[in-house]
Amino acid sequence: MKKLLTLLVPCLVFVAAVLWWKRDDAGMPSDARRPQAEAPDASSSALSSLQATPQAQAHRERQRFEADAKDFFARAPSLRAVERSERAGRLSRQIDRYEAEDGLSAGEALLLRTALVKATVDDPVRQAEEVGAIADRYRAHADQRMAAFAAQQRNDSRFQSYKAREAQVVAEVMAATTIPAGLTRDQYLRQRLQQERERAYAP
Amino acid sequence: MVAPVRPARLPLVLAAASFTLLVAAPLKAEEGDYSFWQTLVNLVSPPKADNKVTAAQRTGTYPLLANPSGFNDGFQPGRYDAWQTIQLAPQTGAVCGDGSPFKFFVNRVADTRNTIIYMEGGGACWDYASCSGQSGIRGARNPNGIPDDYMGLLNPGASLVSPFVTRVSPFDAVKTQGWNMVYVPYCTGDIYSGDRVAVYNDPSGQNTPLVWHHNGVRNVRAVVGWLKDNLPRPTQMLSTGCSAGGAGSLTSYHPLRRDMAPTRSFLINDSGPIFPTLKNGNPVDYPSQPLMALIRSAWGLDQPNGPLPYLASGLPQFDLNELGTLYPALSSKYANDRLGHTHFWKDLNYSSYSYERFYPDIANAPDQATKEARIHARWDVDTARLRDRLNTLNNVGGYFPQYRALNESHCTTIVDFKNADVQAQNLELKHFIDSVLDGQGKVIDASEQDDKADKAKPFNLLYWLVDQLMG
Repeated sequence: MKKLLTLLVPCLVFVAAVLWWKRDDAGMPSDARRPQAEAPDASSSALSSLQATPQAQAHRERQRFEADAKDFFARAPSLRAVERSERAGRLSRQIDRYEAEDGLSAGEALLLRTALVKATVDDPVRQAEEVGAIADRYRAHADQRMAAFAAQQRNDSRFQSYKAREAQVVAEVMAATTIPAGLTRDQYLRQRLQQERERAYAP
Repeated sequence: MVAPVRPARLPLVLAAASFTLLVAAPLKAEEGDYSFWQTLVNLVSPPKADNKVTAAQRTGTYPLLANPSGFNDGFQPGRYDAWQTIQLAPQTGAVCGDGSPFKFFVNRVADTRNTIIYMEGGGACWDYASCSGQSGIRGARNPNGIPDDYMGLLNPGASLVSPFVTRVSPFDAVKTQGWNMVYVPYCTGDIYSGDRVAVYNDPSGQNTPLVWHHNGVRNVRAVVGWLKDNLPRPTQMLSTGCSAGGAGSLTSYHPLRRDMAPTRSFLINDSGPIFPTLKNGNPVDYPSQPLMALIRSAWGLDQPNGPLPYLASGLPQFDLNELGTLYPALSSKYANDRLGHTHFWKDLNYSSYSYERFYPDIANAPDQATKEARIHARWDVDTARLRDRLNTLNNVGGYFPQYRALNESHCTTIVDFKNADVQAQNLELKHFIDSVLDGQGKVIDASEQDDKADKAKPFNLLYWLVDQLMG
């Protein structure tokens, strides 16, 4: 036993050292490796400090959410109704939170909410109603936001300034009888409009 | 020589060794993942770019141009697991079709360098009617530009969300769900492939001409430049998208892959075929010929040093007289990459774009069934030729299921990876995706013979919902 351990421990340390050395990217060019200053000494106190940061806590919470969601959707049919409902409610609140924080796109959140309905509502008619209601809510929100974006574009002085110049430059280039610098008409038009955008959006 | 360990110290030594193993080992067994320890460090000190744009890459044809100094692109390096909007200044060469600023979206993670680049789909346009968003004509997405909060809106693109761009898909798991995600929105109507400012006259004469920036190539170049200057080089990289996004992932693969320089690189073109089509071929034999002829002109593809000559300069086997040679050209150039193409035989969307406005017998069909049959017949000719070509390429797989009751059988990888099966070969779409991302040897090729089994499937609430949203 003692002999076995004598062999085992150095082997473990060696494997750990190899893993540590190759921890980022074996295929990465050596000049692209992260500086060693970013890989501090692996002491347990440093590890504890890193694990206690707000960022690490948020990271763990996010991983837990993703794992919970995957587990729920995989096992929902076999869960008791009460547990299924409780877990679905918890997930729904987390979806609210992450969606509000940009942690989920609208499309992803919609899919998750739809899947929650499918997992918790047995009646197909009610399923369709609830899913339809969710979709209506998202669509109304999108319509509202797109209208706001259109208004923002209309009131964006830089964009409007560019559009006004765009029309003038197009007319000028299309009417030009000679095109400078050996460019084609298309290339010249693109170049001129590029300059106009840079001018319009200059700080 | 290693000194023997005293039994009394064995627990301590074993604990230390285990601890070292714990912090050194990657959280997951994927090439490109950071160790547990490094992940914790990354959370408080985000890894910096290590493959920045070189001086040479900032010049020449389609250079990688950066935002000007002092420009606020909106990126917060330490903001993980959230969609961030990245603003691109005019100086990058990027712009939306209507002339408004282009932007894209990044969702960063702390535990891997691996990155998926997803190009949004959304039709195409090549004249006044299709580019102005006129109703009744199949056009292109986002004719009025991209709002900053785009990822938080349920636009048609978002409702077609793919498991490739979800972290927590309730339906399918794929390894890229844990990767850094880059979502490239679509607003130029040119399958990310054009470089021309078009001036489209209103055929009715009632409106002023539409000035439209088919600027796809430069937009992708600006995205690549930003990624190189701001994020670590991916160890593994998947370029993918559906429809126009699939086509864009194919046409941009060579410069993207060359400049991002991942260790392992993958492509999945979902439903954006570039069919083998002779430039001056007879449309009876090459049904996509009229479309290709039109877009080559409308999008400026053949201009001197334009998109096609640029691609051909780096891909010796790419024949500009037959654009479908892009597949073998990429296969040969990147023999160690794993590439895949997939679409449905009964796709009625991309096929409609391809033929509807080019063939009077389709436009004037007496009824919808006849119209669809004529579209399908031409799509079958094009698809069969592409399938046969891909069968000859070891590292490019072709996966062609028949039908899915979703989005006109357009795009196999949206919403879920289900119901894109090839029953006769006992294959699901996921087998194909796994073959691309994790397989060895030849990438799977599969083609389904008929759609009977697909059409016999029961009602699907989710698909119904998505079709409602699309309607």
